[in-house]
Amino acid sequence: MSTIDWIVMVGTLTTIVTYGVMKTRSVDNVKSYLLGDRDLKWWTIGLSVMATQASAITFLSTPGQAYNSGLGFAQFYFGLPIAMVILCVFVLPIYYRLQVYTAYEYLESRFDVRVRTMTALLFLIQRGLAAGITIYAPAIILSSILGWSLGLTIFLIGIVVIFYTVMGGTKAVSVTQKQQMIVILLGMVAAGVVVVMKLPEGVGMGDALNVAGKLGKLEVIDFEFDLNDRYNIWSAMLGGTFLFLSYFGTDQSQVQRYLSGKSLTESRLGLLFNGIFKVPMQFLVLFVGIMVFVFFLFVAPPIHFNTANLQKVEQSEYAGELAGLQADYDAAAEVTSEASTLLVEALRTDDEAAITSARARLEGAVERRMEINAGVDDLIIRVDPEAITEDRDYVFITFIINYLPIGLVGLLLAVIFSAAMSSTSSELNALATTSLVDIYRRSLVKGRDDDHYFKASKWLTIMWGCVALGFAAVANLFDNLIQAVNIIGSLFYGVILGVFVVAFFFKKIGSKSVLIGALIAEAFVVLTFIATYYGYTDLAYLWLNLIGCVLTVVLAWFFSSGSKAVKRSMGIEVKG
Amino acid sequence: MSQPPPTETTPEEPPILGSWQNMYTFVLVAHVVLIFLFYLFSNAYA
Repeated sequence: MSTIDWIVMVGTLTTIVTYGVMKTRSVDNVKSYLLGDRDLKWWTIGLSVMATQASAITFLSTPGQAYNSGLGFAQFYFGLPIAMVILCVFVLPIYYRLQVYTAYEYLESRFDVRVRTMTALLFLIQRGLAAGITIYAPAIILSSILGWSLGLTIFLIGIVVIFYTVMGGTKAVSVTQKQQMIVILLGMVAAGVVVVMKLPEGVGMGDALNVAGKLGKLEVIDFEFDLNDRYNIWSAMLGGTFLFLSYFGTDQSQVQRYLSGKSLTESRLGLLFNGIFKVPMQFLVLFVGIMVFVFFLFVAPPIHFNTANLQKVEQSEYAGELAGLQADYDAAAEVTSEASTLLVEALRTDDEAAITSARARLEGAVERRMEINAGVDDLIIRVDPEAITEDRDYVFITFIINYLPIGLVGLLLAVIFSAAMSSTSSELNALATTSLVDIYRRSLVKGRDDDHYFKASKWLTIMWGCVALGFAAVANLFDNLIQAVNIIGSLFYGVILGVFVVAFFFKKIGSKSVLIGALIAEAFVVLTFIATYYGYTDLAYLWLNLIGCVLTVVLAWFFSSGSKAVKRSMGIEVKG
Repeated sequence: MSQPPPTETTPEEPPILGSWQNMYTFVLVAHVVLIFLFYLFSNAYA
């Protein structure tokens, strides 16, 4: 990496962090630390909400997802605008009326302290795990390009985030996120423009789209109803809506963002802003991945994108076999490039026979490349049976490092760091807030002064930062980072949402019923996931959100009025 | 912790479109239009 890139990257990040710390020097009490004086305008809330969700994983993994599987992943976000509207109508007015610090605080006023504590604990478990992966994602980049150890890289990233989150609390998180999101959007647009400019002379964006379309990479919407398919419009609209209702309505890392709003109107506008712009933003990120895919049709991509894996093979007894595969791969890459050019020319003539022939040739060449990739994966496994051969998370960063101009490399790395820091800081802030408000101050250490809880908030932020660093150290166990985060979320979100649905819409159901219902539903969701993992069932993880939520509501109803109705129908006397 | 008493939120109008119902309709209609554009985009390059 050049000196200019270093200056751009370090300068951008230092400016943002310094700005965040300077703007929050006056934070000196718990309310200000956890709720940021409730003075944020809608655009800050909107950008902050987007930045919290858009982690570094989004910008590393998503283009790789498009590179491998096309634009279908965009469907994952289709439930989001619906969820935003539902939250604005039903949930935000209640949070504002009760003036809560956390979403779980509301549950005590609706049920009792047990339900509040259980739901807060479910949140702490899943968000604590996810925070580790959020730090791990950018760490793999720096460690691979700078040759640093992964552990040291994780530590350095974590320390910077912990520093400004501890210093300024929720306000530092929100004001830095606004700057970070602006850098992120500018960087991704710049990357999109450059990748198109890097296409061979005479090949424009229209040609690139035509080629990608002929290879089936531009199919955004899949209307086929298939429970096993991770991304189709039905799983997105049903499972996805439930996931986002739960994430934005009950996950404190998001709730805290819009509770910092100046008024209910500002918070609503912030969420609706997210509802309008989130899907196009994700489409943009996926689109950049598609352009990278087309670029690597004309220019030979690495035989394997994870250089650390390749180095292991090069230093092993299989180095000779790898060299042989590399020679085959170079030849296949040349054929791919020629076939791509032929397809572009054929598409311009509108000659169906020529298009069909060129397309078949290109598909054959791409398939040959993939066969060789599989051969390399096989060698990697032979050298290290524990190695992860999935390399799509490295696709975009490989393009950034090797093909972007000087200066832009630094900016794009700043984008990835900004994304990592923005979502991690939200997570640490929310974990500390929930630990303090729902557990520590509510049940463990009551009745102390504001200064005690202010200091405790800072120590809890540091503690959760350390927990996140610990999980980051073992995050390499997951083969695809963005899916790992979503799977962890799906294990808990459905049940948490179910508890809130009962709270909002089933006023006659009491705390005991919802508590038992939620525990049984959570056990069922975890067992279903384990059964799927070991191949006993086949279910896409998004459905776990729906199952968890519906099961919690049905069981809570059953243990409340339902069980009475059943007993009555069986002639058993029911009291009360 | 002592929870603050519930406060009545005064109904506020959005800065544009007149009512919140219109705002929500706008967001949902924009989403449907976007999905339709994605559909057209996929078909155009299939």
